[in-house]
Amino acid sequence: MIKTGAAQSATEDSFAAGKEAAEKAIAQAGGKADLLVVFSTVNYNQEEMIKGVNFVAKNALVVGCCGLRGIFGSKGIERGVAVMAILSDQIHFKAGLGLNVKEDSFGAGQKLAKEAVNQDTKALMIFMDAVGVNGSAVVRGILDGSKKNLPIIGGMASDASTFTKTYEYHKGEVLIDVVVGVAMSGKVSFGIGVQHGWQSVGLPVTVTKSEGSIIQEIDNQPAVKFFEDYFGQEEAKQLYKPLSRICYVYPLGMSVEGSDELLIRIAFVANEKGELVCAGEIPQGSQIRLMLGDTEKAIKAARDAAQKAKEQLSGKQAKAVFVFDCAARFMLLGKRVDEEIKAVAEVFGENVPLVGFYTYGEQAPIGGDIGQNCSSMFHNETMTLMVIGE
Amino acid sequence: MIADFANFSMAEDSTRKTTSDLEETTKILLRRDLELTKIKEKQDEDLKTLDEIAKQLIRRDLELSKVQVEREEELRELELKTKDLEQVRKALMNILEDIDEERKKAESERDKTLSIINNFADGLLMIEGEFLILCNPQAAKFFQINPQTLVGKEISVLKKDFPPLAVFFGALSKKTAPFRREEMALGIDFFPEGFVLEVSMISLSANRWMIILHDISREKLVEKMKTEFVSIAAHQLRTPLSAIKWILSMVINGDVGEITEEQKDMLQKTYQSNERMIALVNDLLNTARIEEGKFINKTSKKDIVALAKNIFVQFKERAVSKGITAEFIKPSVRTPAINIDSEKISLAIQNLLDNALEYTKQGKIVFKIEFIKAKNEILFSVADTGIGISGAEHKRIFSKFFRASTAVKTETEGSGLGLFIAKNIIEAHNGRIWFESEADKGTTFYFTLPVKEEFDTFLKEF
Repeated sequence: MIKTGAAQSATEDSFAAGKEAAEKAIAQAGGKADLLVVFSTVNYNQEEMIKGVNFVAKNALVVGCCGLRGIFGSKGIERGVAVMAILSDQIHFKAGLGLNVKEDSFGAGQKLAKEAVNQDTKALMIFMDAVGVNGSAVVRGILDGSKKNLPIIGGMASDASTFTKTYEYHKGEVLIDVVVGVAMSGKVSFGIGVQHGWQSVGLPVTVTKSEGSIIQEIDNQPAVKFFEDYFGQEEAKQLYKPLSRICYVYPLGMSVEGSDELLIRIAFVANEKGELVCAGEIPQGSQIRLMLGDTEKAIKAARDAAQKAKEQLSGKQAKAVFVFDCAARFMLLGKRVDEEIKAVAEVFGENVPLVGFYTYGEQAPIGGDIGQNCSSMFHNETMTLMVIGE
Repeated sequence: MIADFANFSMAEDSTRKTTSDLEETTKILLRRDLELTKIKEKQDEDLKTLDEIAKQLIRRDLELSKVQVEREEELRELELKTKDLEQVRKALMNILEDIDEERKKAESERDKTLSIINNFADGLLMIEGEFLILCNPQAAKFFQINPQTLVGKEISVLKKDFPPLAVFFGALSKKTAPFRREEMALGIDFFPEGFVLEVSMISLSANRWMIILHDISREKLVEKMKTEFVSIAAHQLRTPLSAIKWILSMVINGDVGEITEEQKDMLQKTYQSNERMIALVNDLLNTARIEEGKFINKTSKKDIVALAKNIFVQFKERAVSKGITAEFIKPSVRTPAINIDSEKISLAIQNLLDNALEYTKQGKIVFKIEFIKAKNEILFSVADTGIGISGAEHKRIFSKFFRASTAVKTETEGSGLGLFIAKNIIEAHNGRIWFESEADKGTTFYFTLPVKEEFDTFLKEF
């Protein structure tokens, strides 16, 4: 048995908003919940908001994080709290926590896995801090202590595009500098969709020197020259400012062993040495290409991702949908931003509870493959989603 | 051997052939390899060209994306502006609705006002500049004309066309300032006999005037009849009363023969009663004259202080006989003679002094005259230590036939006309009259008379 409910509140008062959204979601799930997944926009007082949620949560496990924009139903929310309530006698939820994720991203991932993941874990949903955190290392850390093909889904918390402070919720507490996870074990039917919809252009180049998420040289030249080749020196100067338009309109596509899909990486700023600082690791020797996207393809990718996740349910009924969409896609899509969410909601049906948020980086199995070859990674600019069914 | 040779030769041939075949193959292979290298080079070049094209296209895409961003921003601005405009439109619509509502209100208000104006018992005229802009039915009735023919016309034209209006505006043209409730007799040429209007002229704005015409013909007639009646009645009463007075005085004085002390005493009382009756009739006559407006007639320059002193001397005797002190305080400075009807002023002073004596049981009566140079007026005061007037009755004290409750208790006699007469006399001389009083403590009556020093007297004194 799985009962779910989703609700949102845009009430001005932080406590009231948290309480209202949680109350309604729980009511929809039949008045009781095992798990409450909370996404709140950053313009709320986080402590007050979560107090509001806890006020009605009873024994439910409360997890989640903040975002610059929430997702509920078939659209984004500028200001609001979105809550998913799940009650089930067949899925077991277990929370895990990794502290000091900025200082030791890999270690925090390991810690989380040790606490939450076991042989029976079918999937792990995670929410991590964004400030100074190596998201790829967190994912590697988690997989280090778990089976290699553990499906991980989740997002990096986001703030009002300042990259200064993000909040994570763990067992009804507001924390910073952590990675929170909720492991699902037992009889879990789920599907995961991962699509970016970007098109590669030009010839592949080789990352000849890199360290973590910093690309130092491409084809033995300073990394920034790669962008200069495409856009000219003048335009490439934009890259020296963080999150310039070039960086999210033209991300990098990295080929990954054992997959035809290219993993997206945003080179979100260039440093004085002409090195490119990316969101997510780029191993030395990787082949990368410049990616080109357009609105139509982005929306189609979202629909495809939803479709693929739905197929993985093998005919079971969708009960809850979590959407982790990249904040850069929000910026890229501009006015049409809600069409993407609408496309996803249409695939599952408007009545299926859906919540999510716009992330600073997504975690999901590459290609959405949750089988034997499942390989969870850190993504950028990708539509990732998880559907739980029965 | 030959065979061997042949064999050898065959073998040699064969080897030669093989070698040549190989050579041929090698050549072909080399040629192929060259071709392949060429193809590869060509492919590489093609790829490079494609890469170049991709790079050029990407630049173009960047340009396009910038244009798109700009356009989206423009659109956003446009949306905001549209919203603003929409709000402005809504605000305007609201204002229009408000205006419409106000207009309706104003219309209903106007209808109300119009119906008031049309059904008003008084005549109403409104003049703007030289034009008559409003004339209600009642006003038209006064002038015996149709209101429609009047409105919007120039007054000079109306004066020519309608003689009654000519008379009215003729009388009005003497006025330059607004006034209220002034009687206007319009003669008998174009109006019925005895037709009197009480006219008010009110300034509404710089060149807009409202004229209210109140028909007081009937009141005037009634008033006239009443006054005439009182006058006639009083005259008719006074003559026999005078006769009684003289006859009684002759009998009391023994001119018609001896009478006993008892008889004399009774006749004395009858005489006094007759005196009171005469005083009452005089009061009634005076009141009637006041109302007829022919009260003050003979005015002449008089030394008011001397006049007052004379009255006081007689008064003092009476006061002393009643056991009350009376004091006269003259002005400290020379007081100019003033133009008065001395008979009437004496009556006013007499009335005030009589009242003081009448309602004072014990104590003192002070009659004081001061010349207030700053105001150029003479101030008279009569102060007593009598019964006083209670506060609630202060307002009515000068009314006709009114008697204060304290006075009624003390003295059953009294016409209630004395103060009314005094007030009318003083005001007819452009003076003011008032009083201060407290029950059981006493009353002080004040009145003033203005001094109008003529320019010639001013010169004479030089």
